[in-house]
Amino acid sequence: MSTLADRYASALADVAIAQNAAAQIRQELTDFAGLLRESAELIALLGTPAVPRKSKHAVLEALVGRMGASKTLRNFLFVVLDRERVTLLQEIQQAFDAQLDARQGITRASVTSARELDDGEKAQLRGVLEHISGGRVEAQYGLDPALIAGTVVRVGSIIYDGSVRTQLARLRVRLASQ
Amino acid sequence: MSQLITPPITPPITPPVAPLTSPVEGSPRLHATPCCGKLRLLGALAGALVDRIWTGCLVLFFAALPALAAEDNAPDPANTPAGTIFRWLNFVLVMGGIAYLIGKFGAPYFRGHARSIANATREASEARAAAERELREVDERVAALNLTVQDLRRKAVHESSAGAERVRELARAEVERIHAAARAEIVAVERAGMQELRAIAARVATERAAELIGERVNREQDAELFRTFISELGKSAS
Repeated sequence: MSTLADRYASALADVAIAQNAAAQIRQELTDFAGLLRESAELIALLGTPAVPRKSKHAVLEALVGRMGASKTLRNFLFVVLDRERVTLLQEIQQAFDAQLDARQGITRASVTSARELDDGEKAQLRGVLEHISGGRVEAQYGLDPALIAGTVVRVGSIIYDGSVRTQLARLRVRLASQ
Repeated sequence: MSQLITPPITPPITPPVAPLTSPVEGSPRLHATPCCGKLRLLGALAGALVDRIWTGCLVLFFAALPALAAEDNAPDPANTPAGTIFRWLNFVLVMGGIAYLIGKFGAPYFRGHARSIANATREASEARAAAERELREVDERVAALNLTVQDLRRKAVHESSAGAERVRELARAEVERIHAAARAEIVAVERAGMQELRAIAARVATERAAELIGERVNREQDAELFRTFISELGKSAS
């Protein structure tokens, strides 16, 4: 993630937290980034200097209005457009998420299991992870039958692997090296 | 007179001729003897022949004198004492003339001849000495050559044996090296084979285990596995 994207994300996070609308702006920015991801023509239109700024503003205004986004996001997008940083918007969105998480003490975890965990198991896992991280944990859950059985949890760059697949792989290495 | 009749130069003529031929015959330096030396030798031989002819004529002359004297038994004025005296006088005159002629022309001739023969003898001696010296040198060289050849042969034999030994040693070392490399390769291949076999066995075993676990594990067992995982996670946190 570039330093430039961090600066824009930090500025937006300051405004969002000050307005106490961090969750809303996070969602709006995520939606707009998803819109840009799906439309290369929109990126080209907003990025090209051949289109006058006024026309770009009109397009952006129409999009924001249709999405029902806040005025804060609209102004932020205008600033990004005027500075010709539209191509950085994906990175800005990721940096904004990270900034908000860091400022709100949220740790994001990715949980993958061979079967779907029930709510009790999810709560139990979240409790342990919050105990480990010392903060609030927001987990995303996924399924992977290739794990055979067990669970894999990823927090940042740390992976806690309790899957049967990994244990069998370790067993295989140990058997082969004997 | 007696010196003129018996030539003093005949005896020394023969000795130089015989030794000249025999020792130098086999020597390659014989062909290098100067031509003038041979000519002088031939001259000396011719002079000796002339001397012998002269001696023979004188002997015949003196032998014929009594016969000539006995031819005329008749009283002859020549047989008178005065005739005898005149005959002797005549004889003396003739002999004196002959002696004078011989002394005048023969002596220088014979002296020159003797000198040339002496020179030829000396040169022959020198040539002989030189030939003998060269022969000795050649013999020494041949002997040295033989020694050199023997030395070279000995060295060649020694070097040949040393070379053969060196080649044998190299061959032995090469064989040892090949053996060692082959042993190492066999060990490495064996080890690699064993490792590959273990890897295959481990892969097959774990794949089969995964199939069996996948087939037999149920929700309860997976929940138990999850609880164990959570417990270990909690332990690692504390």
